[in-house]
Amino acid sequence: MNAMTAPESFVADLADSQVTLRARNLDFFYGKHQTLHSVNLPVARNAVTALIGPSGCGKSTLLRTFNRMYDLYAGQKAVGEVLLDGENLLTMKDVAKLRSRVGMVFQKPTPFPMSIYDNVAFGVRLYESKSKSEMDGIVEGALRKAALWEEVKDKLKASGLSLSGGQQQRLCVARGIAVEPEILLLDEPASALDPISTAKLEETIGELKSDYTIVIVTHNLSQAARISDYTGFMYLGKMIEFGPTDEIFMRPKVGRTQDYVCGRFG
Amino acid sequence: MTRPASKGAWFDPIFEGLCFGAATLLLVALAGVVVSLTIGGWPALSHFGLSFFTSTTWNPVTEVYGAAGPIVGTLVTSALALLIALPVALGVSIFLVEFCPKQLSRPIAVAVELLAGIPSIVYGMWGLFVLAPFFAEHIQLPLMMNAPAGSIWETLFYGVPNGANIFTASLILAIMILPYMAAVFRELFLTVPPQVRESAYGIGCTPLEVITSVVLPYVRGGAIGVVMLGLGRALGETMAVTFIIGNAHGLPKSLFDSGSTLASTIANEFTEATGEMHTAALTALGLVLFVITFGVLAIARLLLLRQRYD
Amino acid sequence: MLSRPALRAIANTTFVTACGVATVLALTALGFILYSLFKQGFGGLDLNIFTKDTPAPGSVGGLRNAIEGSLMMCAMAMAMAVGVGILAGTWLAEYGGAHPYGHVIRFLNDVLLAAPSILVGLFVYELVVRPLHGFSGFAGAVALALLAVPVVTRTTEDILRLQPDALREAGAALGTPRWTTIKEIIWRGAGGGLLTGGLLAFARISGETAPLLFTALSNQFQNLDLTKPMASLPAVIFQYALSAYDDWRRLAWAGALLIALTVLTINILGRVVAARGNHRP
Repeated sequence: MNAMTAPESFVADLADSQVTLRARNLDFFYGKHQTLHSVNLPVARNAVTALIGPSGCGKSTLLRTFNRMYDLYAGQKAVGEVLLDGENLLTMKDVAKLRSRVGMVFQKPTPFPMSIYDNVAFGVRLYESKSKSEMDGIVEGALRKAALWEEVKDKLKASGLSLSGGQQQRLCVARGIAVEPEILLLDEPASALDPISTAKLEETIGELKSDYTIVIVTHNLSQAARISDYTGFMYLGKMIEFGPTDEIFMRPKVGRTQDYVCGRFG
Repeated sequence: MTRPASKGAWFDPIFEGLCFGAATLLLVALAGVVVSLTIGGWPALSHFGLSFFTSTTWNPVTEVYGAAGPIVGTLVTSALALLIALPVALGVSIFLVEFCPKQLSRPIAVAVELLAGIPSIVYGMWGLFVLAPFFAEHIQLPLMMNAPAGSIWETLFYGVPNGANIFTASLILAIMILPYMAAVFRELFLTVPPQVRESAYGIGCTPLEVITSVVLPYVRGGAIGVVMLGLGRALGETMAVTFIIGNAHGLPKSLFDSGSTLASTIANEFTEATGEMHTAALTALGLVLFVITFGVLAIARLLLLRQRYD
Repeated sequence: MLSRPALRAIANTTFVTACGVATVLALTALGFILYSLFKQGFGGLDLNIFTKDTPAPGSVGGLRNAIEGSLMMCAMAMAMAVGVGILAGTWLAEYGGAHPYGHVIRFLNDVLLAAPSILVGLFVYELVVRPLHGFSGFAGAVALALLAVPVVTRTTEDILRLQPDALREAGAALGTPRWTTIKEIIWRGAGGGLLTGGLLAFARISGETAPLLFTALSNQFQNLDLTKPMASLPAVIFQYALSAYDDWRRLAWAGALLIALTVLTINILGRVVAARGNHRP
């Protein structure tokens, strides 16, 4: 293929049976300002999908439509379709229920001002009344999955804020998975962490994908290459290229993707 | 996968409604103040008309009420207090922000802020028992004695030498609003970005030049806002003034003459007001006070707001 | 003729000196007030102050009824003000702060915050005293509450705005109802700050005199009935300080010292709470 015939964008399609979440012709507006332009993206079940692109390209905005986080702010609006198991989540009535199915971990750790135990139990208590022993089991399970259990099992009553930044972030992962979501959205979860904490978090993500579908926004290309199965490259609010991670990094079909993954801009 | 709706979601609109109701209660309260003062004061305002504001007669026996005395007293004491307190408050805050050693600056600033919280009745008592006698003996009397006969000074310093007069009331007001203004000025000066200040020093400005050419212009709107807030406090202050102004009706004839303010007249007479008209006139004084302070506060808030969001 | 740099240096030195002098002057004046307060008030502070009621001139007495009255009215005022103030501040910070109506409310709150307290007294006189045909501790408490609400509202809004949006989003991301997010996460995270707001409001109203004069009036005797006129420390100080009796004046000084110490203690406590950090659960 030569540069003359390279397409402007290329979004590989996945079979419906493989896909749990699918954005279709998605536009997004901050007031009058449009920040997403007809974005298409299939998200494969039990896989890690990475969203990459220069800052301001809309990757975080896209992520935040998947759990309707933008609903919190007046003047923000999404148009188009985001299908969760075939149902358009943009028109769902019960946003709280949607968010319990699509969990999220943020850029900076956001432990709640309560004990480690209560941080994890908080979300579960919103939906179900559990006995003490059931809850203990859920908390332990979530903390184990987030690879934090060994570090905190002796101080579950301590404040979540007493943990280190990396531990706090894994606590937030544990909190997110304790409510057993189908999908976990990670918004640059390692950008505030040191390299060792980052490595631990990446390991955790790798282990989580057997149980959950994961979408991660990152500006760290090697992180995307290391942990994801699929990668979407965004630029100026458009999905430029989407496909298996190897394809995106080794044999990109779009010139701009090539430039970006080779570090020529962005 | 099905899961139950989250618990307590039904309470969301109720909670928001409660919060909204509480916020609206503030509006209701302020509206209540305005309405009650207007209704209560209306008999006096309609009966005396414009002369309520121009007449200096305040006579509960003949039931003739004019508010010129307290209005002038309020404006004069507040203006004087501001005149005294403003330069000192500016000096204190500039000293704390620019010149004071760090270890000393914090404690002094905290002390100043704490003094701003001392109840006004304490200032009033100090004025009555300490300042007034001292002032009468060591300042007022000598000045009166030595004023050349027939000069403006004789007129200015005339008064019963007991220390309870317009000037001492202004002084007490000044001391009262001083810590408050100094504390707010200091906070305001701290909002000037260090780079702005440093770049002025960087071209060789002296501290005085940095302050007059960079710091003060930077906080201009806010500084006027602070002055207005200080003025608002002085206008509405009741107890400190009531103790020491002498409580005489009518226009003060000199700096050392006793007088009254809107607030002090209300505080002194309201519970003992006998006739309906007396109560109405006092309430009308309250309405006048409200209108004046509301205007001043509105200007202050507008200026401070602009500072905040610029 | 002095050179320009020399003139600049002189002007600057004069200015720096003037600022220093202003500071010394201000601190001296304020220090002198505290000194007089201690000198005059400390002698009167004995056990009688807390065990005996306000006396007739010439007999031994204390300030018990006034202290009780102040405590009762302040406590009741705070009970009314804290709920309203926190909810109103929450509305401004979490719901309607950006709307035009929010701006109006915020402005009115600022006006109430700085409005002359005596006007609140007049308002409550019309609102409570007149309809109920009499001065009462309850009316005093309402007046004090009206003064405390704007303080609590303001500090609540300020402190809630300091809570990061990320926490609100993290709450929402779990599907938490908004009010649960506010109650369990935002209020909890702001706990220390909210307490400080309450303490500041309490400090403000505990020294207020003017609004009590024609709401609670005063009472020479012990009275724990909120429907009857009630003594308060500030009102008694006002009455006794302006009297001609030395022993009454001594009591007034002791009372003034008591109030000043209380207000200082509460304010310092508020600062300590605020400094301990708002982020402890």
